Amino acid sequence: MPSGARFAVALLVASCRNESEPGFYGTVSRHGHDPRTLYVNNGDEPEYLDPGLVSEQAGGCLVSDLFEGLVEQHPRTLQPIEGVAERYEQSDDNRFYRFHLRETARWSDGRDVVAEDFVYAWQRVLRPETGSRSVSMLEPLKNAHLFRQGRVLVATEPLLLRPMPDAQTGIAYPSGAPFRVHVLLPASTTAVPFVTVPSGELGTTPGKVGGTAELTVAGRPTQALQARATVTVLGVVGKTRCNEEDDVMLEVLAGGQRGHLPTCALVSEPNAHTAYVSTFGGMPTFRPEVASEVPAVRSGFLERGSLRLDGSILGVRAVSPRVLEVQLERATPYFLELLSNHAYFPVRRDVIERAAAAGDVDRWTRPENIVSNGPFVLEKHAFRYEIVFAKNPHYWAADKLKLDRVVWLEVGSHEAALALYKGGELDYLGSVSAVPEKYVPLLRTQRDFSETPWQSSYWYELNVEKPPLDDVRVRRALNMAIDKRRLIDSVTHGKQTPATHFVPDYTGSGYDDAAKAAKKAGDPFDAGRWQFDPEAARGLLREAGYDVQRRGERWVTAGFPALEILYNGAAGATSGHPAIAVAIQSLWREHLGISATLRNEEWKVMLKNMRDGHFQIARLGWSADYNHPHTYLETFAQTSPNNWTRWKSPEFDALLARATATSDSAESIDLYRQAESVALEAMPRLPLYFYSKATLAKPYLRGLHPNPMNRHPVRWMWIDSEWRSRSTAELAYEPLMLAKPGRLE
Amino acid sequence: MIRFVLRRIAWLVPTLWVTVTLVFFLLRLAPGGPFDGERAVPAEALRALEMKYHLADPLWRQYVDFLAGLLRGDLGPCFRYPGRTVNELIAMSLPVSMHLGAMAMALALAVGVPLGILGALRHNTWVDSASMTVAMFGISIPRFVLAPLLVLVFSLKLYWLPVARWESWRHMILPVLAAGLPSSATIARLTRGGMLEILKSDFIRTARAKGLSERTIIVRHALRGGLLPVVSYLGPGFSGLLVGSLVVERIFNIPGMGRYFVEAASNREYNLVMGITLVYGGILMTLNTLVDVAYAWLDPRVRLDEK
Repeated sequence: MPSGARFAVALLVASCRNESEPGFYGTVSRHGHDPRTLYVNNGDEPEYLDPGLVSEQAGGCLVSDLFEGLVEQHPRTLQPIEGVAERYEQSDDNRFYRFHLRETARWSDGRDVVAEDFVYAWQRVLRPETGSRSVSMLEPLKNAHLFRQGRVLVATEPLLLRPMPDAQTGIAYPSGAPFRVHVLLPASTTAVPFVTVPSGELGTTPGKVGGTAELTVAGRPTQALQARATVTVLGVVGKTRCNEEDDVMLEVLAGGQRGHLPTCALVSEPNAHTAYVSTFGGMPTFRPEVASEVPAVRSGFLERGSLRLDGSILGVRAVSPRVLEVQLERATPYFLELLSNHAYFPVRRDVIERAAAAGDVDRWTRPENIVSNGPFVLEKHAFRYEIVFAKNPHYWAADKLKLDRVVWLEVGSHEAALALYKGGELDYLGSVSAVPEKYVPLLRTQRDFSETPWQSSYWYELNVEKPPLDDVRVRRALNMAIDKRRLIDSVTHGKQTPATHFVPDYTGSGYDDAAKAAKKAGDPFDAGRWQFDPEAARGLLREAGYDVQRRGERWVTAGFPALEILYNGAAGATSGHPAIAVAIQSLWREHLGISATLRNEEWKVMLKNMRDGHFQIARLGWSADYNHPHTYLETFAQTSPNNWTRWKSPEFDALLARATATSDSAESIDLYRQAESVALEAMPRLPLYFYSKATLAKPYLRGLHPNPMNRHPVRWMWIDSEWRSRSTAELAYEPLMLAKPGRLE
Repeated sequence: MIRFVLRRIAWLVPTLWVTVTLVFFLLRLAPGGPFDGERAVPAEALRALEMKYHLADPLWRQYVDFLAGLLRGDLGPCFRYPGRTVNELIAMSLPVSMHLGAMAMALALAVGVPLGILGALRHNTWVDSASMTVAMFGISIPRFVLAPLLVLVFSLKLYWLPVARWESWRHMILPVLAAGLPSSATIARLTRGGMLEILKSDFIRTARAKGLSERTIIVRHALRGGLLPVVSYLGPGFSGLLVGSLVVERIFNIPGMGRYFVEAASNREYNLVMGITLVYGGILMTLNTLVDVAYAWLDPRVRLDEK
């Protein structure tokens, strides 16, 4: 057929297609799509398909259907359901767990999923050389913090612990003995060695990679040397604390000067070959009643090569192929929530090592190499175009799945995704893809549109060291002068919730119940002083010593220092940051008579400036990693790398530490709320709103249920060809609720 | 002619070297690094990543390594997509962009040249005004307006053509139109201008006086010179189309190279930026050389081998 005629025929065929139906956005017919294949948009090319390394949504969404953790979440209620684990036991203090793996759990190549696969996967995420961004997820495990920093190593062979680097005599230790590594030598520092042993809490600013750190004593920086000084360690003087961790004070020699420094102030040379260590007594026991054996602590020098990073120091072990035991550092009331995070998914050692041997370890997730244990396997990966999942025939519930194939398009443009959806090429916009704000009012009338509160928040980060923001009254006044309801109605247009505090009220794990109960008794987070109240805001500014006056129609605050709002994204871009900044600028001018300038920077430049403290007010956001208030509140801790505010509160940190150490969940939530109110009183961040998730899904797609974590595994979904004649909330199959844990003796 | 081409090729290497060296150092002057993100990267992870990609090395060392890799034809790994190399990324995306670009250019020439000639022949008549009005629209409407407009009309209203993606020939029609039509408008205006100038010149008047048919005059005599402005536009114009357009690729979800131009720079993808700089620079210089050769062939006054 000549191509012209072919073209005409094709046009004719195409135009016979069913057109859009009133009430829905676009077509509701699936023209030729297989009824057991789902078409979803994933928004972007995933960085990783490796569960231990995934750090962004596009990858996380895919990984959670390729792999399966011990425990999963119910797609509607987010309650824990059975994953690889069938049941578990737990100790009374929440620090010990024993998981029983199901007999029928298989990898996609047919091999059994065994406890050792989890042990390997968890250790791998924490190993420094893996370079995973999810390490903080596994922090609750016993000794995880020491393990990931390589601070505890194990002797590979019997060895001598020597009192001085070149001494011939010493104490003999057997192979396998664990040592806590204080510093690798030679080491250097910028801090002047102290002549006398300093007292008080010590701290070091995190130095740049390859650079050095500066030592502070009780918050005051010490005098620093101009150049980096190499130090010789002479021995240990005593115990101290640095950056809220146990540390030892060393006697050192630098530039002919003898003095004292904690090990945290020292930076190891990359080619260091000697380690300064002490014997380590904090090994996991995996038994509630057994305390770990504490050796008489000795310190001295060892060859670095005689030590290696060993998983035995970490609180996870395989007792048998089907039994996994876990020991935690603290009670960690949100541990079960963490288990459904991809950082805890199992991976196959042999598959990863084979790829590493073939030259590039990152290629183990290519379709030809990957072995996974979830409901789906990776069938095809067309880079930056589409990913195809096929049913994993070895999955333990494979016969219950109602989809054989999932095609994930990688359409980055929101407009293009909407158009594809409208034309019927997509069944569902997907949990990653967003509906542009300007379309929301238009789509709200459609029956296939939904909008759900989402555990994700948007706020302004304040640098509390920059005047006038160093005054808490100013920070509170700024908060009270923002009409968040108006901001949402006029700028973001969605169903976002105005934020009066930092944790959304619908956060699970008991926070939602506590919030409800508090509401009845007059919610402290809902009280007038956190609400929009321009009169009170002006009062606070006056209290802070500023002269707020009415001049005609306007308010004028004479002498108020200029503020600057930092954000990324050019005007007219898909992000709403510029519009929000403009709105807040005008609210402050209107209600407080103060002026703020706007600074728009490219994203990477903005991050650099924030890291260096070159900002006053900056826009930021956070999506919950797990369904618990800890995910938001930990970012206020002094030591959190995600706290850019420079706000430090020992009271907050102590409350947070108590909350994570309590096994009573109601008491724990109460402590979290107390910590939150401490942060709120100090107002180092201006909470603006909690996001909502808007999406479109064709009416024939079943098993998709809104939940505030925006977690929607496709394993529960199915295509209903009789959607017109029935309505059903059925999932593809019923999740198995996880039974209450047995007691661990 | 051959000497000219050889000399151009000899120049290509140092020109590209200067370009990549400038880009290499400018890029590293930009604040922020490839692994910065909203969430703080743990210090150990950052160190592991920097070791893996040799970003902790001194700058001169990284530059030497880069040049050494270049000589081996290895552009290095891609930071954003671990397990992929820049060579792989370019090998996957460049053919798609070139395919789309070549078709768009063919369309642009097929529409633009006749339209321009028509305008010149019917100078100052309604035909001229109409064709130049159309061309003016084509030039003024940017691709990010034209492309969604085409989708709206042909896909979402008429249901004739697919909305996006890169599958069958039917998927190619709208992207080719969106990429090619603005260029065809430019070409139409250039052709018209060139033809008008030529048609006024003495040798055309001579040809007319000799009584040659209008057809022969246009095809045999006028077109050669009249197309000169178009030919000089083809160098930069065609190379821009060949490496892909960010806008067209985003709107139609085409896995081409165009989107890397912005993405790579804003993600601080050092290696990828170097790769696309080389590809674009190479294509641009090659096409410009071809344009010069074509010039000599079209215009008898130009001599390439002059001392």
